[in-house]
Amino acid sequence: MTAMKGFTFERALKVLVFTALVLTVWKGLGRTPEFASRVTPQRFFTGLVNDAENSLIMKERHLDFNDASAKAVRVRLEELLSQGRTPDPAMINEESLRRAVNRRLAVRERDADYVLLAREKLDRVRAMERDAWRMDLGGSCPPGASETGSKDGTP
Amino acid sequence: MRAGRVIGLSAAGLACLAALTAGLLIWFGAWYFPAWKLEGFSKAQHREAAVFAAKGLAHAEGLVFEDFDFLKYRQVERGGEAYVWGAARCRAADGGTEFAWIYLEWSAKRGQWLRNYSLILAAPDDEYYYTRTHPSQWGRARMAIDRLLHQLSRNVREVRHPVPE
Repeated sequence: MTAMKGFTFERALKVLVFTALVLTVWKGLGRTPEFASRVTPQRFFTGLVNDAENSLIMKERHLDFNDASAKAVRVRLEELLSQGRTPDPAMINEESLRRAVNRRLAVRERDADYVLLAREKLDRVRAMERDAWRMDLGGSCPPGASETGSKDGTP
Repeated sequence: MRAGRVIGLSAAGLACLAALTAGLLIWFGAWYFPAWKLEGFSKAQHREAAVFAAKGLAHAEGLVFEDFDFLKYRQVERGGEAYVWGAARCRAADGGTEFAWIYLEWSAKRGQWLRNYSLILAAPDDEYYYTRTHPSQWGRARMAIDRLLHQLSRNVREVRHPVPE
């Protein structure tokens, strides 16, 4: 028993729990923009830019999907009018095809906006990296000001 | 006592069968089929990979692949993600035109292109044609399930009866 006094099971558990706590704090700290933008800025901005690039590609793909399906509906309408071809008369007729085209056109407005927003976000993130942006340590954001806005206050 | 044992055993057997079926479906849908026969295409061979996937999908749907209406390749500057997508123009047996959406993603982990969300555009079961009352709620649920089963059977068909070379 005396030989085990220096390193008991309970002490080992305490060391393990303490290590886990330190690791949790360290990992959690690494995820805060205050810490990451100062200590690992390259990794921080690479993550932001990668995220924004993937979003932009996704929004562009969604717009393309909408346009491709709009074209597919339009071609169905043409073939119905010229050849009387319809794969399923219960669902596909002139009225439903015209409605579907109009719906695709309406959704297109929204999807095109999403592409613009994603491109703006990517530009903003790249500008933050260029300006070596660091998260304010005060923790208080002025009311109405966006955290990623430019220095003169315009968002 | 004896009846309870029989019921318990058959319940356990059914649960095992259900788990096995679910596992098989997940393995096929999320691991095996997305990668199937796309191993040979490098990241730069995105067009060839997309054409191969389009030909396979068209064949399994009873269509003939003609050409891509458009095909886009996009990759990020920071990181390894790459994507290729497009609309494939196909010819139906009755001479009509059908469009197929083909979408592949580059998997850095597996080092190959993977199939992702490919389907026939503006298919008759598409929700584009829904109105407020037609089909009914039950009809919508049934069509959604039919759509999933159709895609699954199409993928199985593609693997079991590949495009003749």
